[in-house]
Amino acid sequence: MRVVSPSGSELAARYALVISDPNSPGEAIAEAMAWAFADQAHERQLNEAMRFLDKCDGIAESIPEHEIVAEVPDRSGWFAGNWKLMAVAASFALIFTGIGMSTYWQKTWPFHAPQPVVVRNFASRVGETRTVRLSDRASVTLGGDTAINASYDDSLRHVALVKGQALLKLASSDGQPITVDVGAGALQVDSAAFDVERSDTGSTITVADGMVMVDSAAGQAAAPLAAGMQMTAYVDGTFSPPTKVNVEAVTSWCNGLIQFADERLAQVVEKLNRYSKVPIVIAGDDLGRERVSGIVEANKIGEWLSGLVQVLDIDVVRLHDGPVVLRQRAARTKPMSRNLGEGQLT
Amino acid sequence: MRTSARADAGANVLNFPRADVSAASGLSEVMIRERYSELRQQLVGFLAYRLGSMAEAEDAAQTVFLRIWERSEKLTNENFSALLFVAARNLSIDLIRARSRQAAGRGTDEDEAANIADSAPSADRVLSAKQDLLLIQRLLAELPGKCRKAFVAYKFDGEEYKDIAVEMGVTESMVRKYVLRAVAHCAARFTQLEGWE
Repeated sequence: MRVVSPSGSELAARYALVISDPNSPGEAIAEAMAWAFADQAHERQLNEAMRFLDKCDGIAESIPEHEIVAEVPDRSGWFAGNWKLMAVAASFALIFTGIGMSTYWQKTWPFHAPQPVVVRNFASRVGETRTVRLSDRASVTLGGDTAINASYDDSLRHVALVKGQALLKLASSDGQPITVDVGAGALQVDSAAFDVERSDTGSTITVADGMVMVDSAAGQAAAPLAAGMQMTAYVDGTFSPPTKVNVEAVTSWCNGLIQFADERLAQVVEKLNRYSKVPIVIAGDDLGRERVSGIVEANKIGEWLSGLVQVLDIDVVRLHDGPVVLRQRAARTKPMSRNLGEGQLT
Repeated sequence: MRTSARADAGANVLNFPRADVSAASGLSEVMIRERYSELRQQLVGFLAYRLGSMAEAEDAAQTVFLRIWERSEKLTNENFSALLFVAARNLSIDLIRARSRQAAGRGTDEDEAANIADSAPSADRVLSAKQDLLLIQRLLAELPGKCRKAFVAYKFDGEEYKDIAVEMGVTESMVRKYVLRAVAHCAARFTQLEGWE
């Protein structure tokens, strides 16, 4: 059996607990002090540990017990606390008075990201675009059917794009980067404006202003992404190479225009479904791989689909009270199409 | 019985008349002094941790020596350090209790309200503690749930390891490990982050 020696910090913690415990046996204290004086590094580590424990004692002595009480949720899910933990309720109350808060843990990424104690959730409906303020230096515009959550301790620390597309304008208020979880990776942001679109295959990041550091979920080294550049972090941990893009075109959805250039139809439909009240589905993988370009007004998707019939050899069929289905046209002498009109899909 | 001791300020070791060191002691006077000298720095270090003051620790170290000297018949080479630190531990407990009693019992009955106010932490101290609380809160949030729960129960709720073990449904040894991991993580991070606050 392989025995792993405890690290210096673990030994320091052990000995600090011995020293601070009034019931510790003399032998244990002697061992602790002998370890501390054997090496300057040991002494430094022990001092660190003792200082931390002293700070905890100072809190317990100086702050009324009821002010220390808080419920810090467990990582695994809802926390129904029966036991006291610490919080700074007064500070958060100042910031969040009047705002509904939920306190639950999200599984966040990367692992080393701080775990804050207050989470705010924001979501938009299908077809809705809205802008929310996260802090005095941060805001986010949500595209249709988009959800994010923002996590705070004393400042905004972490934003997660749960689904959809968002334009984020973030600036750290205390010099510590804000972590943005985009599913297939994470970003470290000091101050930047950037668009993120999340799909099943990965997340596409387009920087409008500033710079972000992109980490993949597989733990590859972070790659910087500057303004005007776009990169996709795939779910398999790989990155696309950064490419220069027209940022205005990428973010035009904020103004009700959905633009795409040479994208797979499946991907385009995924975008459109964030604005189409009637779901659009594609019958067949081959059709989903067809590449299309275009500019679609978010409230005129039906018109665009009608036009698509002319471009691709497809039928657009509206099932009764069901989704709109795009399917490869069966062999016929003339094309069949349905004019879906403007109002039917939005 | 021992005659009164005279402190030798230069050597920081108490001198006792040779006649008082009888064959009943497991260690000779010379050996006690030598062992004490070897361990004195560690002893003062331990007392400084416990009492929060190097000056107090130096004074207390003298008292510790007196106490073990009064029990020198029990001293052997093997148990010297353990008994030295037991004495130091017990003395530090006594001094801390005396300090608390002194702070609480200042003034007359007529000034009881003032005494309570005097013994309350100062505004500066409360502010400092609240700032520490913010940082420690963040650090605790970085811990796995069980580590955090065990540490908070031990350090802030004042529970004993065995009681925490019962609450959490684990062994006492596991609770000690959780608390140890919590301290190991938070101590390093506290030092790292404190400079940013």
